[in-house]
Amino acid sequence: MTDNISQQFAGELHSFFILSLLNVVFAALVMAFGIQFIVTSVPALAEGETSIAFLASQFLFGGVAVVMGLRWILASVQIFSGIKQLRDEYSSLDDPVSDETITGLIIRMISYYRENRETIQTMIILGIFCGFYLLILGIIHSLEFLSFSFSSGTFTIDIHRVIPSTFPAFFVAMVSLFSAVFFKKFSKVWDLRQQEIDRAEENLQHVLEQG
Amino acid sequence: MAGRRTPYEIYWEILVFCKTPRSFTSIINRCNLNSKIGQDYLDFLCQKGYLSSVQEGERTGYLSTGSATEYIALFTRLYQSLFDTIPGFKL
Repeated sequence: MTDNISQQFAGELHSFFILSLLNVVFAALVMAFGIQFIVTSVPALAEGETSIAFLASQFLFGGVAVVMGLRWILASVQIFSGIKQLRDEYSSLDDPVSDETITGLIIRMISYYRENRETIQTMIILGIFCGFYLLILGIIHSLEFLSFSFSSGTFTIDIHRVIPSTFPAFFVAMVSLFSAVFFKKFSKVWDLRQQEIDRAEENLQHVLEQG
Repeated sequence: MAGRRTPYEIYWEILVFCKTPRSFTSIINRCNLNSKIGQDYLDFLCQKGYLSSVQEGERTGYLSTGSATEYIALFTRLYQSLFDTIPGFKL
């Protein structure tokens, strides 16, 4: 039974490690997109190529993305460093892992989850928010390459410029939403385990009090 | 990285660690407790008969008794069953 649990524990640890690592990368990408939006809006503003209102909104949206990205990176690094420590510890164990060793690691994992639950919940919200935010940002950016002809009443999009500039934003937006979904899944599993522990505590107390 | 542990988890950690005689300092270091809280936990376990004091030369050590086995076994079974009864997380 312990081998099976040990493998399951290792699998979960590995999955969450990858998710945390990807999260750090995507948080950095969100911040990079924000910086890109700010940087591209400044010269355009100076040259007076497009309307001030459009550039100001682009500047503002970029600024918000930078702040969100930074907040997300800090939360992600905190989560990542904790899970890396646990993973390194598990990797250093020799097979077969004893009952007590694996139970000790389960305690470490659940106490790590209790300590970081709020941060994980924040990351779920940030992931969803950043996902939708980048979708809007991508749409705004693509509007730059949209032109409307009053005489013929037609819209034209410069597809060669739209795809390279907006595709990455849409891609990161999708990944950000997926990341939030997986964090939610992880949180649900450990919330259920915590509920089981809460229920079992009565039993443990009873045994402990008997002496 | 001790995190937030419940008292039952700390009791289990102490009892498992004390399967061989351990000094007070090694217990609080291993279980990541401060002296006062560590002493409270050890007092409770000694009072309930799960730990006994053993003399090792000039120093006093703590050793888990036979009564601790039932608690350790129940706790281990309960925590391992968390992975049996609840579908796990996978990417």
